[in-house]
Amino acid sequence: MKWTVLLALVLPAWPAPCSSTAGSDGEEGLCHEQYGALGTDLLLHCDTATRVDWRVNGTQVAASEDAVARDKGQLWLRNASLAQEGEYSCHQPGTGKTLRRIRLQVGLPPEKPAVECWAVSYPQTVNCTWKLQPEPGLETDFITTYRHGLGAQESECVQPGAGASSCTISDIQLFSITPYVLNVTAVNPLGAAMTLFPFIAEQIIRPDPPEGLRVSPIPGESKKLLLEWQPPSSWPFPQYFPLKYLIRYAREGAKNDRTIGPYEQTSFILTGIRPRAIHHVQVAAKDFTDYGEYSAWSPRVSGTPWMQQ
Amino acid sequence: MLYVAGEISGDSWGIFAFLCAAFWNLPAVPALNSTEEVGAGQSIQKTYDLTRYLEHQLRTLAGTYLNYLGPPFNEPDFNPPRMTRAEMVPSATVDFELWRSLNDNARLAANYRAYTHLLCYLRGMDGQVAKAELRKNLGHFCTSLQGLVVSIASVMSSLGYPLPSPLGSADPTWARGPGATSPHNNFLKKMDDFWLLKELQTWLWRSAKDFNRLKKKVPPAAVMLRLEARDF
Repeated sequence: MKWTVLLALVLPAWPAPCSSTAGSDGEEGLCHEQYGALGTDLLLHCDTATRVDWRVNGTQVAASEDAVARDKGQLWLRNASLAQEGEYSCHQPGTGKTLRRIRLQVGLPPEKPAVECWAVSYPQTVNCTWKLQPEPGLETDFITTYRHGLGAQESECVQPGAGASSCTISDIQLFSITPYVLNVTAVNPLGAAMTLFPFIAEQIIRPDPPEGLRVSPIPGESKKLLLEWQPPSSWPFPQYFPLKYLIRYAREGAKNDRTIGPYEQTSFILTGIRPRAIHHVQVAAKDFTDYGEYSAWSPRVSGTPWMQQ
Repeated sequence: MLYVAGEISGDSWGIFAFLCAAFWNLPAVPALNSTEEVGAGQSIQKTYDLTRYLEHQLRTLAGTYLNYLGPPFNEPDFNPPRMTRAEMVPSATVDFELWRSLNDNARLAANYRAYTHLLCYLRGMDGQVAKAELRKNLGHFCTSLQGLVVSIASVMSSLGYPLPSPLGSADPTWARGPGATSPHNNFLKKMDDFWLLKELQTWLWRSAKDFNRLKKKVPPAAVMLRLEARDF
């Protein structure tokens, strides 16, 4: 307990203009940002050694078990919770002059990010995403770098924008004998945590689902359906790295579905299906040489076979 | 098809060296005799199928062999730095643009060279393994790998490409000699085995893609007859 209090003390409280408006006396002046860990004890400091009046968001801080105004201009917040977030200010007793403003945010230091990487556009790029569990509740930045082999130079895994939870690695070497290692480091004012994710591109191939699935009747054939689809547009070279496809279909109202394949073609004639019944179809793709995994199923498309009028 | 019957015992690396040297000087094996018509396309398909089969075999073999080497080699997250010794085998690792731009001859030649080297090293490993069952599995794998080399040679021959000349001298100084069995080098020797299995794996991955690419360019119906005699 004492250590966590100490930690709250030494946290850098740098002056910055706080977002909320100041107390009722309208005095501007620099506002200090302070961060505290959920469930710990925090100490807010005023710039004086005497007793002061504490206000939060303009109103007097109610003396309670959890908020104790101590000597030497300190406010002791126990068992910090989200309810205690806000803009605190300390005032000279009597005159009410604002001595200091502190914006308190309560959250958690980051846990090790859960990282996942997939070569959705093999061999051009590898796309990595991550999740923080539990959510820190504070603005958390991510440093994403990678190495190819243990002695290699570190390069940046490029994030699309600030606050993203994904990044992209380009210029992958094919058939690499040593893994790439991605380093995702989560940083926020309360701490940092790092995850290392090694991978070999051929083993994390997973295309996006096939696109443009069409289910069409065939004139004159009451027990057949024509299925046509396209490889996902994110798969850059279907001519060098062809895909194979699984087809999953079910009759409307039926309990079970059937999965057939894999086939290399992007069309298929479904035969032996029940006439006049609606059928639902989905398609999934995988690298033809069987590396990596199948894509997610494409959205369901339905169709009915041709009916004699 | 050249068959190596029986096993190569550990102390006869001289014989193994001779075999490697002899293998390099093997005449090009025509894919067909004069009464058969075998399309280049079919040879490519056969080679492709062989790479898939070998990949499957290798998974089992590697698992058993790494267990035989013991920890840390059989640990799933064992990721040692690659020591910068002279590359023994041409690496499968390649930049995509370079891989894409390879012409058929270069693509086939790269595969042929790689597996010829890999086969020699594997035969070296074969002789030094203590467990009989593992030795038998290794021997079986070597035979299949030899089949792959001959298959690649037959594709090259049917497409009219010359077989690549051996890299380095015919005297396999790069082969492991008796010194490799000394106890001081035991760990390094195991590291060599570990990397050899990885080289094999990456080459088999690459070959599947190489031969799939070649398949697309040479339709299976194409018939190419090479009856030209070869001088050596």
